[in-house]
Amino acid sequence: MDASIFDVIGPVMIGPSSSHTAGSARIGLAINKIMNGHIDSADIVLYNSFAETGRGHGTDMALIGGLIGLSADDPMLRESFRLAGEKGMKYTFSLEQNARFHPNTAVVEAKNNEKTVRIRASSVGGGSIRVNALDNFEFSVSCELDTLLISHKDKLWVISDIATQMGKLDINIASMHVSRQKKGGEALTILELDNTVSDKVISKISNIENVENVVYIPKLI
Amino acid sequence: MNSFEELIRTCTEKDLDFSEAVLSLITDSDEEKKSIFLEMKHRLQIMKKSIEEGLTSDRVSISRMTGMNAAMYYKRVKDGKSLLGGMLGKICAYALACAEVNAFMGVIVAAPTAGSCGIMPSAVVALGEEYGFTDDDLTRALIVSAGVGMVISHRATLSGAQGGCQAECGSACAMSAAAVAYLFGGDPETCIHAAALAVKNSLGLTCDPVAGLVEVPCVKRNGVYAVFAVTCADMALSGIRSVVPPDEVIDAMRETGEAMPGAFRETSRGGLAVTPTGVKIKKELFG
Repeated sequence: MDASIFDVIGPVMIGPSSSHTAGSARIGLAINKIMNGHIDSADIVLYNSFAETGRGHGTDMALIGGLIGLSADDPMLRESFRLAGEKGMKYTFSLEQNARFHPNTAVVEAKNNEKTVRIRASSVGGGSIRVNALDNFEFSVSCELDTLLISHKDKLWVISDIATQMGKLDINIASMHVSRQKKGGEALTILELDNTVSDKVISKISNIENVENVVYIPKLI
Repeated sequence: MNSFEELIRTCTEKDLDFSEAVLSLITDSDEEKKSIFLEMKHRLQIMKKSIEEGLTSDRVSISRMTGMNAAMYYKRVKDGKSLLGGMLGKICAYALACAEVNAFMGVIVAAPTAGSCGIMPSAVVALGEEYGFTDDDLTRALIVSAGVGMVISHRATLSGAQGGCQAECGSACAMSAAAVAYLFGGDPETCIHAAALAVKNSLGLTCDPVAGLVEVPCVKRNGVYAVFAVTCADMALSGIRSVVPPDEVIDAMRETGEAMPGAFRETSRGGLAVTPTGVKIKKELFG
């Protein structure tokens, strides 16, 4: 598993379960960030162990809490259903089994007035998470570093422009994952970064030719 | 953090204290080391708050299976009746307290997991109070315990779903044993052997929680293993060494976990979870 020092002594969290409560809350929060802090509705499917032990460990409660922007150590997580109601966020839950997915997996279709996205994420132990899919793209992002998900056309220079821009902005790239649906089609570049990303950075990347959308997930503590 | 051997070698070759060696294996940057130290010290404060909440709260878990055991045991300790004596009795009470806060959905620091969150913090906090260690001393002890946890996570696992409770409470016990040995002046080898004794004596420990909740036997197990860790540290401090080298002990834990039936690895399909009472409780709670 190779835990980091604060994976071993951490996370700071609301109990009872690092994988089913804290991990679930962090998945919700990652999705909240992807949706720029505002979700109108969320259709959630819990899979496998998440589905089986969800109720007792507060998996559903924690996930909703994360979706409305609460962190894994916020005592208000216990009131998340009520708070979601107050914020007007609608949600549905269903339970399924899928042997292809990690034992603690959630698939969330989240909507707000700007966009609708479908995200699959897993809680892999000790509160750590992996975001595994965004719409048609599959990858594995831990959200332990600031992360940019950049959708663009698969054309020359885009990746080079992105990397050059990062250099100009003094931001160090820790990891880079590039994939495409088909040659010349839709592509996704994922950057994990050592430095905090500001609105200015997002704006500069968004302005690169052939970049279509930039999603920023600040590192989850 | 690949092996205990590497950790000990780093201490001797670079003439570093155990906590400094752990930090040096994580980063070369002095600034980052300082920042890690500060964050760890902050987590120590949260651990203290969790203990305080567990001892004084009258909250019980939603299932009502746990809650107020820590307060009950702590009263026995304060009344001078604990057979363990004041210090060990306090450690047991503090461990129960953390575990109960976790069960009633309070704030805790997973160390390494939520289900085992009382085992190591209880010792560190209680010893701080009883022996006057400073928060900086205790923070160094936490870093030592984290180093042990990181080696275990690399060579084996910290997850009950993969390794049973050996991986969670066994690992927490090892982390605590090393921290306790460190606080009482144990050299790196002593601390590592304290950890090895803890893991050795939790091999085969199953994870079979009643109704799938992190309460029975988890809460009281935290109390038991918190005291157990001090036994391991004490033996190591006397000079006792594990015949099987520490890295090999961790490897044995991994293999034991892999051979363990799924029924004993956090699925609630065996052991306590399927006793007549376990089944009854599950039905009452979840239908």
